[in-house]
Amino acid sequence: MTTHKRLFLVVEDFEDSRFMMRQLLELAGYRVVEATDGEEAIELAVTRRPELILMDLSLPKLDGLAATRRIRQHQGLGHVPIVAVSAHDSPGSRSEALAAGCDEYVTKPIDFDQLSLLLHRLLPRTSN
Amino acid sequence: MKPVQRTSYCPAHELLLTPLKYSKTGEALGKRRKERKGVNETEKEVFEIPHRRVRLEDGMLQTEQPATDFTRSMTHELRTPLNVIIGLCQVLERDPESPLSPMQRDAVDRMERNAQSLLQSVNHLIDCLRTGQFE
Repeated sequence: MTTHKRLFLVVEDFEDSRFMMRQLLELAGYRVVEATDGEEAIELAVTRRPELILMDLSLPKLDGLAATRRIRQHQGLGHVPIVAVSAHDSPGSRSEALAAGCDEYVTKPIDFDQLSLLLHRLLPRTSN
Repeated sequence: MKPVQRTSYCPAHELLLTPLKYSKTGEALGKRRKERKGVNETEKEVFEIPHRRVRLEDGMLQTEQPATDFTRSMTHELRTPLNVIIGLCQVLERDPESPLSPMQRDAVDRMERNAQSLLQSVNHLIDCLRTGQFE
């Protein structure tokens, strides 16, 4: 019996943050692929088909909101859960992210338990 | 005239060099910016902060505005490293493959607790910047 580990895409330009997110998610039993800017995020979303995307909003080349809009336009990616990750907690930033097509909005720092609850809520329970 | 781009500008430097008690109305900060302007007239007040361009207003901190670009940058610059510290403390505490010794566990617990405490201070500071109210 093979255990299927879900693949997540972490989009984050700060290397230390990517390292932290990878450790946190692998500890929680997921596999991780990383993108460092908005353009790479779109490319990896299309080619790797992750089951969930954690999207930092301030990114080089193409920001997280623009990348989310573009990902949503791709066939088969209209419903992939996208979680916006931001340092800002203003209601404006949140509604902007949701309007761009994000399913959830979390503010840094991300708490391990908070993240686990969120992922359980967003992912269908068909496997794992 | 070509604006001078400072790619390494960090808004935290500006804030840390400005004692809070003088920042009540943003005057100290404004004065410092004007002084700098005087040194180099050709230098435009345009700074490149990672992926966000912040245009500093006429030397004054816009305390009446709910959220200026300055406070947005501050929020990002201060919370991002704290996010890494707190997140990695949680990873160390929870990794079943390499459990910590009692002393290490205690140390990591104290690191996380202090990072959380620093985060509270940062949140408070950001609220002060947003509202312009310094206690």
